[in-house]
Amino acid sequence: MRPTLVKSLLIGLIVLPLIGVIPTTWTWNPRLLDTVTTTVLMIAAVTLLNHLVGYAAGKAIAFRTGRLIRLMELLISLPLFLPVLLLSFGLYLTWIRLGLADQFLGVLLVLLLPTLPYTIRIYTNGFQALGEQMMEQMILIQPNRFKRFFFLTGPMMRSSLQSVTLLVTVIALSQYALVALIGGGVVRMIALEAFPLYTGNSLVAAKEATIWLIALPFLIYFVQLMVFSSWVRLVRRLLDGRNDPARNEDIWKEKGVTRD
Amino acid sequence: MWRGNAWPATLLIAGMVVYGLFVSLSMTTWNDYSRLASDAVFLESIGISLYVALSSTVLSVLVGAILADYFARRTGFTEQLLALPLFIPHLGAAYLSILYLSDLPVIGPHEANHLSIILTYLYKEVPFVFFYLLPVYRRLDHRYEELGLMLGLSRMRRFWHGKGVFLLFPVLEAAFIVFAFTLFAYEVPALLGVTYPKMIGVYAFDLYTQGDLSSQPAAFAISVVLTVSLLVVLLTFTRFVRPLTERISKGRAE
Repeated sequence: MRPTLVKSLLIGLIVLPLIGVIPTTWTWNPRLLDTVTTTVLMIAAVTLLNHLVGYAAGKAIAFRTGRLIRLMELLISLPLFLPVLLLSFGLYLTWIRLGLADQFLGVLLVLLLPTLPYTIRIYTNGFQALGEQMMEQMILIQPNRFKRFFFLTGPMMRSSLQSVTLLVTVIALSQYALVALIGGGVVRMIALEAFPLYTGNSLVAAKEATIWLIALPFLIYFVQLMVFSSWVRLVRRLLDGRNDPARNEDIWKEKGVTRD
Repeated sequence: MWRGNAWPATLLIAGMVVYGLFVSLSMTTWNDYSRLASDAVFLESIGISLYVALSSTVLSVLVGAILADYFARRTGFTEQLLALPLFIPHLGAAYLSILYLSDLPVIGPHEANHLSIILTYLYKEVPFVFFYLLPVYRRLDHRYEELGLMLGLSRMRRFWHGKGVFLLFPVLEAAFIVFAFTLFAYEVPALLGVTYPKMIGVYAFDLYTQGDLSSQPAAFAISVVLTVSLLVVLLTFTRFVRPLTERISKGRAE
């Protein structure tokens, strides 16, 4: 296949359809705006939990051996292959009993089901790509685990961390049925407003909802990109030797050496 | 070295899955299952769901694998275009379908052939399969195929021994994920599907939320039947395919 042909096919089929959501008129729909706060908070909470739980689990699956961890790997990937929505019918009754139904926390827990398996897969692949020898090397260089994460593991796992946030955001955003069921209409995320608009006849309102749905992942990804690039810049600055005692001026002066 | 800890994740996920299944099971009696087996609406919606899920899966895996094979051999910016649909939630993709396909005759929404649903899934799942398989394709060792060439193997056998055995498990895994997702999804078929027969996710969800309490056991029964049958398929899959691929690829330096 000719590269230009492939490129134009991809542009035509993937990029061009997005022209339809470019905003022409804009009316801050108040109903949508109300849901944005809950949505962003929910996404932040789900993403944070995913990173915390997924990091530990991905590392375990990548570096542990034995029957137990293989069984755990299978159990963790179950929601990828099973109907999560249908399972949530039963969970909803339990959540009512536990007082979690129609609550932020209840929705948060259920949203882990469709997101966490992906997160753990990405982390497992990231750790496997890094390799055990590299991990051991990094321990020799920096024994403090927090400093090690800041200087070495974090920047090296950058692409995994970024993909996790993106995937979790997108999956959490498009859950209508799950959030409607478990949140009972009380926990209002954007999908809950967008979904009825699509079946209604106001094309303008539907388009505005879609713009929110598409813009939020891009926005969150962009913020993350900024955070990561300043993180990496900070690490570079801290490691460029400025704080290296061997380069400290006083030591050189003591030795009677002048530096240009 | 701290080797991570999978307990929190396992307890969270397995706890919710097993407990959800257990509650569904406890809400049903044997009668619900026998009624389900003779429910024509249910059977028809299983049929239409299988049709949509199978065609979406086969097409997206095929196209995704071809693209991965193509882009594994070159680097550049073009492959990044495929990352774009990953930013778009399924609801947003459904809106794109409503926007562009509404006025078209055969592939429009609310047509009995469900082509608009399949196209929406292709838009979302082809990039998923592509990025799932791209690292696998990049890791392939071309020397196996060259060895096959040197030994005078036929084209088919060269492909099988050089690439096929390494691709078999990842491809099946990606296919399984896409299949399970498209089979049970709610949002896209609810927006683009027809009112009869509904796809199974929509049928079960509407039964659970819109019907009166007497139809809830049926929804729970559907949940149990589908979960258990997918579990059986999954276990057969891991029991037979994984040892096979492990045996074939044993001794391969990673």
